[in-house]
Amino acid sequence: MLELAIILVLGLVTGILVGLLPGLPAYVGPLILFPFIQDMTVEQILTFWLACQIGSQYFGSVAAILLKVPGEASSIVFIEDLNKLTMNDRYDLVRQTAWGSTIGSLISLSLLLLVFYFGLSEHLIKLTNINTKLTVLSILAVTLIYFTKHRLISAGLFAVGLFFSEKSNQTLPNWVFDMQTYTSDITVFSLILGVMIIPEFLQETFAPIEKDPMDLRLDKQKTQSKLDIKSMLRGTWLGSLIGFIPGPSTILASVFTYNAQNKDDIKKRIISSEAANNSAAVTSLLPFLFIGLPITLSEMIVSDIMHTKFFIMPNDLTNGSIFNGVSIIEFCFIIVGIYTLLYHVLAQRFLGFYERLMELAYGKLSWIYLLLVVYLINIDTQFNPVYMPRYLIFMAMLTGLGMWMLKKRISALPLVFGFILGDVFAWTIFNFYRINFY
Amino acid sequence: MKFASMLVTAFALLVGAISTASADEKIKVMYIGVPQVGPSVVHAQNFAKQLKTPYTFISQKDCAASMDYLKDNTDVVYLLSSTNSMTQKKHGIDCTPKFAPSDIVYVADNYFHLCRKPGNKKDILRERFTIAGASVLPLMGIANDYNIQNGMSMIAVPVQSSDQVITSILNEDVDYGMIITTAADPQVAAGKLECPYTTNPKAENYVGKKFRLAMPDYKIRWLMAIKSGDPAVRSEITKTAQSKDYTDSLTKLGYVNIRNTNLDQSDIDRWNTWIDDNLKTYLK
Repeated sequence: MLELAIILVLGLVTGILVGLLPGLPAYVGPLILFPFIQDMTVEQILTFWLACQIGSQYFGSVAAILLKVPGEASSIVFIEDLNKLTMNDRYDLVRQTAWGSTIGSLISLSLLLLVFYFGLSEHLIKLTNINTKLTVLSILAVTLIYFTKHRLISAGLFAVGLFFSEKSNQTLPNWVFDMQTYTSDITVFSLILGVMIIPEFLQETFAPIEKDPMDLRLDKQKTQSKLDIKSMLRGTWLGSLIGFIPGPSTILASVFTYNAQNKDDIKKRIISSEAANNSAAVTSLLPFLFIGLPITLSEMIVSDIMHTKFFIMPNDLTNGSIFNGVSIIEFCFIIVGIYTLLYHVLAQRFLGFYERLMELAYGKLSWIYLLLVVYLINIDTQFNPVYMPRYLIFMAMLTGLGMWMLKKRISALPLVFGFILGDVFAWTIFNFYRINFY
Repeated sequence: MKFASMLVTAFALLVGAISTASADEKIKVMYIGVPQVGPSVVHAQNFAKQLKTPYTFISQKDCAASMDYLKDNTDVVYLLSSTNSMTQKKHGIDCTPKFAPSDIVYVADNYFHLCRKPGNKKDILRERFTIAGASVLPLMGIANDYNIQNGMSMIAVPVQSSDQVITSILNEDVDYGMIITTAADPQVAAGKLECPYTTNPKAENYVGKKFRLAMPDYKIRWLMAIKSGDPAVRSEITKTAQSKDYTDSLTKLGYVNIRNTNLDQSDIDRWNTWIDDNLKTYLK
């Protein structure tokens, strides 16, 4: 029990760090576990993983909203909009999104309980089929492009992102893989760094935008608006549904819900997309915990870990009992509930810390950004093996492109999302054709 | 001036950060190939964790990078899978390092089941039907073989992994799936899938008894080898591979035909022939 308590705390801290520190996606959590799995029990592994899974969604948005550096990929969608909000609005937004995340997570957890106790999991698996997937991806692409200023250019950028993204379908023609020998040195994060973060950093350093001096006195001016429950619920139901889509479901949920909201109300869009993001993170657990099917990268890594522990999913989840007749799957539900409540409290407490960090940052931004960029490149290359010279050359080229786009006020988001979703798109279209028309 | 000083600082920090991140453990365990997740990596990790001395697990972006790493380093134990080697060879990349019989640590095989959702009554000899399989398999060639030799209408649907094959069967995207036994057996035990055929020739429902096929005993062949001149390292690797704990764990994960002693040139020949046969039969 003591060991489990220690893992609970370690998981909690790691979940916060994975969320807060930009560049660490949710799947880093289970990756950290690899050297220790031999000495850990299945319950300890699941506890640690669930902590990272939930924590990264909570705290990723905190880093994004306050520092404008996406702690997780699903926050990229609203990064540009944050320029239109005052510091006070952003501060309030952190509280609103924490509540949205909690409501989203708890409602999705209730859905898991309902499905578990009423034995409905067999029916829900149908939501993962190719037709649903293609429909959601198409709507996502169209809405993403439609809500930008330069629709034609955005469509082109999205297509370029799709084209250059790394493809894993080995049945595609040889030239795709010949090209990938070079282009796979562009990672998702190097793309984000190149076209978004570094150009902003350079603009901030060499042509700073005049700041509102009131920004620095948050203590005296912060006000709390009424909780926007309607946006939270809207995000929750969309996120709960999209969570079943295999692949980057939290990103899909975030982008889809963001674009489904009225584009003039930025705060509503962000609150609802964050609620969707968290509820998708919880509902995406359903196929894995109930049927043993990993549908996200993080779940695939945990599934691998479970194989090495000779733990058979999903059978052993319901057969095994930890204490007082509580099965391992029920233990997972309890852990999700506990972490949701803990992170809800901690996400609000952390605001003071971030506020101080922001105050500290002003005036020293160039060097802080520089350290941040170096840190991000280091983390990125640790988790994505690349040829360093090519990686840096690509990043320099992407930075040039990013600066040009910034100058012309062209959004880089379609390019980034095209790149993130390229592989899923390639698989989905290819298989949709083969299943229905071949 | 400010820009130049920041650029120099960034470069210095980056070089410092990357060089301090290098591991100093003696034995390096590496899976040669892509993807860097899934059964292949589980297999290599499973071996690594049985080692008694400190090790580091090496991930490389692709086959060429793995081969470069192997060329520049020693005390490396590496795992090869036939599926990856032949897929890479199809793309014109030789992903099998040159090794001597004494470098081989062990060889093993993994068969496949042909599974469907319970209740699926499709008559596969007469009706058009879809079958999913991991895209590292020569699935198009295999389906072609079934169709030509048995007059069937099998449509191959390649997906990312065996787990994804199971999802595609359960959500009714496809009628059948070709699934590695390690992934299929638990689903069969849970009653989620039924597997009327298998490629294991020792099984009752061996696919070769029902259909005419060029390679009915289709399997993934695994080969682990070592590059080291240090007798202590070689002994540690061999002892680990031959330990009961490790061979039991392989058996439990569905590996068969495990051979870890008296390996000779015929094992290398068998490996190369299997890959070439695959290429000639299914990937031509």
